[in-house]
Amino acid sequence: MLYDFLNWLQFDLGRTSEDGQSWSQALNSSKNLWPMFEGTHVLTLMFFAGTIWIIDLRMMGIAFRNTPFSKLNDRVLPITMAAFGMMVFTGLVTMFGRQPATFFYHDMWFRLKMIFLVIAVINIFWFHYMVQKSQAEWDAAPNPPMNVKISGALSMSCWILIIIFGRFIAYDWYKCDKVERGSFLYAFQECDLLYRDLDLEAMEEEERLLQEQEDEDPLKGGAVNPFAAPPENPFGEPAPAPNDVFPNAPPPGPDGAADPAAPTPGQE
Amino acid sequence: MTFSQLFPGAADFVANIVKTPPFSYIGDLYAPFGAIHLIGLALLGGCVIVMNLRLLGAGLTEEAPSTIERNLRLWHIVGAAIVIGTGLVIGGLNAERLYTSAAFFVKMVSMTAALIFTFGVVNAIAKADGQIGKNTMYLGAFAIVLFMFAMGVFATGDGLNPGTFYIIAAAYAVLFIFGARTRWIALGAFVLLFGSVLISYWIVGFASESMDLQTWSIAASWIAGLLFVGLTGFEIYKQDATPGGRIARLIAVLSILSWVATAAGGRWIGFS
Repeated sequence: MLYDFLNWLQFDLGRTSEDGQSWSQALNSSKNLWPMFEGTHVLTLMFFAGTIWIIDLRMMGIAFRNTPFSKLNDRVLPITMAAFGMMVFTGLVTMFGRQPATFFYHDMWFRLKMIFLVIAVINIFWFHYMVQKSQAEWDAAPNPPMNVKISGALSMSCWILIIIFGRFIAYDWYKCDKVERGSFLYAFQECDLLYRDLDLEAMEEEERLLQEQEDEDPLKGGAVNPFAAPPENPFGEPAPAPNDVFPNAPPPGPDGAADPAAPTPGQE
Repeated sequence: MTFSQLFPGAADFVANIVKTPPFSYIGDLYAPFGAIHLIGLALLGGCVIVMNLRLLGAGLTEEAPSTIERNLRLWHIVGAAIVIGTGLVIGGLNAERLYTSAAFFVKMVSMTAALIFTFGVVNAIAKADGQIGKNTMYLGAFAIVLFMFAMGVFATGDGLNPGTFYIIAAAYAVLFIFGARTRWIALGAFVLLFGSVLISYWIVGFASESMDLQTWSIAASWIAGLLFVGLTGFEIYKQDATPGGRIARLIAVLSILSWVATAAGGRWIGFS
């Protein structure tokens, strides 16, 4: 059901324009709009993660040991919460504008990110409804009790992992076309759903032809992968212009990203 | 403006960086280092925001600036060490591209200003609970000039200027947090920024590259930027009960924005 909803968002919502593009597809091919939201999502980290870690450090008894927890919490948490709201909003727009069904839904890193996001939220509820009940006893204590420390450490670890997994979404190491059918990752990413309505034989033939093309023309290398998106919405981004300063340099990936592990189009 | 324009003779050196140890051995570690770079930036960003907000009379106002500085000192250093250490690695692995990138140039100039602000000016003001020495003042003036230069390149660079959106948005967010008299105007401007961008693109088409819209966006950015300068100037002039006075408040605002500009420049490398 979620997958069908994401498919509707990606392919159908707003599909009234002459070019037949949905809003999601149009946002995907926007030059500046999607980067503005994605960039804001990343930059909000400074306001969100940075401030919540200061609270976490206090909970672990590492920083602000002589400042009552309640003071720090009351003064810093509102900034954290506002930044979190902004982060969720820009994150949703970012996801909406970059193939929510065919890209994000089947991405291992995105799934891991969501799992740790859920753990972080559970930790917030545990802290708020269980640990914080006894706050008066440890509020001013430089060295809070173990359950407070655990909650702080869990929060910090979750957000670190969420940032790492979020960053890895840009890489296609374990995309459905790169993992073996029947493997754990294939099942974990629900890759069957991606290929549900597609003609696999035709796609394999298309990939073979593309590979032949790539072998003949190095400038096309890795620019488009038919397995990465359904036929209605290939990435289709033009290859970047040759490098003026390094005319003999190998071409960058579709988004001009660094060679070591070229991120997915439009992301870095 | 790019480093390739400033130092054209360094092209061969730059091209060889990635082939030279240790970079030649760690190409596969680009992604993990990139992720840790973000973690360092977030940690440093949190410290910078909490410290500077205190100088602006917001956030942890019950604590003396020197207390906050003492508690955050280690984390400022850890954050900066992570950002610079991982930045050297991902920069070395991506050197050719960064050499010709105007966004990277903005990031480096802005980061220099930000480091001076944080470690040379803001922390010194906080340590002295608001007293500003002469040397601190000179350093602050130098950092302001650097930051303004970076902003000038960012705002006028072709294909680069949309990245200033982040800085304007962050500026209004900061004004919303510390502004006693203009808080709600700042919130309105912040919502309007995102709302007008979404609605205007929705009207002309998300994928549109309409010249009219681009012209309008540039005009709107200038209006938003100038309005921010006016509102912040008013807040800085009016608020008197904060340690360090008006100069410290001005430096605190610019210190936060210089780190945002550093991050924005870094992000825009991938888009410009």
